[in-house]
Amino acid sequence: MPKLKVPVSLMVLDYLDSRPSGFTFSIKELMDTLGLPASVRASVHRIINDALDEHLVEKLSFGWYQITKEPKVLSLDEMQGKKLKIPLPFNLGFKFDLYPGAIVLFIALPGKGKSYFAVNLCKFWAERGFALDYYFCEAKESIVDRLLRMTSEGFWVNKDVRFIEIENPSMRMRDDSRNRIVIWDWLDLTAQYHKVPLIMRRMQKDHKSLIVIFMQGRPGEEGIMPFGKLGGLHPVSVAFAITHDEKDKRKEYPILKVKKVRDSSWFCEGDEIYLKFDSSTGEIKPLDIRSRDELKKLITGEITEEDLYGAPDQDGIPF
Amino acid sequence: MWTEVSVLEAVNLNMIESLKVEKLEDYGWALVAHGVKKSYVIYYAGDKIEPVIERLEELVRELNKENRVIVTTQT
Repeated sequence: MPKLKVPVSLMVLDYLDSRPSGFTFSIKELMDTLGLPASVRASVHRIINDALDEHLVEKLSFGWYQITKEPKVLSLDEMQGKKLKIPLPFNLGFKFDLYPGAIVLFIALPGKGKSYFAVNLCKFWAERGFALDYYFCEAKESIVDRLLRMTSEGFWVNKDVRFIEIENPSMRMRDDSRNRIVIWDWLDLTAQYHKVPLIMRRMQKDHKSLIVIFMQGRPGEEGIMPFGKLGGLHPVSVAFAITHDEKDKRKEYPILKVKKVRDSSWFCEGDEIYLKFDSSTGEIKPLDIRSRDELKKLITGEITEEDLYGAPDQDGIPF
Repeated sequence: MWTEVSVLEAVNLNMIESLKVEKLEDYGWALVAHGVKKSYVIYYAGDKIEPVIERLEELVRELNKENRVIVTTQT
């Protein structure tokens, strides 16, 4: 298998991040643990010196270092984060309370439309004038194709959207992304799922806006679950699994199943949000459906979308 | 669940009496279509009003073009 080139600094910082306060180590021990060659010893020294300056580690005697993670003292003002004024698509609006650095996670099995959701979110926020960074790791041509298919000519002129390639799974977010909505499509950490919380926390640190992460899931007893331990969801504010009804063979009606919700008076875990995927434009829109039974009827043709939206004397679409 | 509806369709069905830009708690700035029986959120943009106004102007143009209704804007 080809090896990925990961910067030494990232590996060392991961090492420091993932160990508890008070943990002692020597440079040799650190290098042995990470499997680093002697040729990078000088770089490691430099990084550890930087870490000393930043008070991430403390120097003990005889070449030993100790990780220091002094808890930060916050004032009441600092504690009181302001809610993000960023609406979510699919008629979710402000129905989830999100604070700066909030992570919204989408989990899906392979081929369930992660990237379609990502481009829909990108279009939604771009259209509303939000600054956005789209980190991608799939073929950029397919992302561009999808984005252009769902927008009219001239749509992308003057939109504050940047596209950034994810070069390796542990790549860091750009510093200047911290004031912008970030879409991370997708977090590929095969066989390193224990790193998920760490990487998420690193993304969250000092982030002032919203972070949306897409990840592959696995089939579990309770539907689609994230890889790794469930504790991996700890830094996440809202998690959705992207799924389909078993009758929906053509995958026309994606369902967002709420897997985790921190603050919402509208939704709780297990709730489902029913959507419609338009295969000609690639757009995903909300459906006026309240239950899985109703969705099944729509899929099997017992009711039509006209029944849902058509006649004015019907229930219509409540607001 | 709520949903977005096609305004042109709704106007055609006489479901809408007026279109208004309003600030709503759960959406922020939104374009709301008030119908005979119910109201509908057509578009929303959180803290920003400009995209909502743009969408309203777009709709007004469409509606005038189709000669379905006479639309006037008011600030």
